[in-house]
Amino acid sequence: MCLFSLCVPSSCCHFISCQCQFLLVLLCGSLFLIPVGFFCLLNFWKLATKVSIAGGALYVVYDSGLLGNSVQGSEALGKAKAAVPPAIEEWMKYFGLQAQLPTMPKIEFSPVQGWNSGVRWTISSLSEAPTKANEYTNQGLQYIKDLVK
Amino acid sequence: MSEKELGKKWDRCLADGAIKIGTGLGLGIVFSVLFFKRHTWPISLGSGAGLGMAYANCQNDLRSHYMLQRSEKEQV
Repeated sequence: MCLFSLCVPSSCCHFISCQCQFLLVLLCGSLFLIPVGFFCLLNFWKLATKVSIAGGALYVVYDSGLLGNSVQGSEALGKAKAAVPPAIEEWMKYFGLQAQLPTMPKIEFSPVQGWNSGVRWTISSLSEAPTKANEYTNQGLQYIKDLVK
Repeated sequence: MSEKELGKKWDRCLADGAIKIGTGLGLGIVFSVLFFKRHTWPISLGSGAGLGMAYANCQNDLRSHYMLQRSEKEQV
């Protein structure tokens, strides 16, 4: 009795031999398993690529000292400030954008200096405020006295 | 701590904060695109972690002056 007599109608077993049935099942199974295997292999490579990209990003960040202490962080910012403008210029030359974009006007204004001068002005005004208020009050009183006379 | 030294420490704090927040944002974007179907929570998590690391570094840096003096006193 064939092994496939359970699922195949009994009449089929008379026309197809056991070896043929075995070969038929093997062929159908391989036709099904090859795309499944290919799909699993594709998923594996996709996951491996994603993991390698993420791992590479983490390694670059760790190796360049971006996650270290504040000294390393400020050094990294200094290196980035030194490296970014030449890189931008090179890319602009490569794409031919240098002639198209207008040159940035050089503004001679330092926000740090502006802030510091504002703070100094405020504090000096506050320190002189009582004296000046006294002077203006005396002047006002003298003016009123002169008017009353 | 002199005023000049304090100013340098604050400059380092701000620079480190910018670097750490940017790095956290970048890593969050990478992980969000690769693994988490472009959701925003990895980006927020990365930025917040970077901000927290910068805060801890700044706190340690500002306290290090007094901790060093205290350890010298203990040695004496």
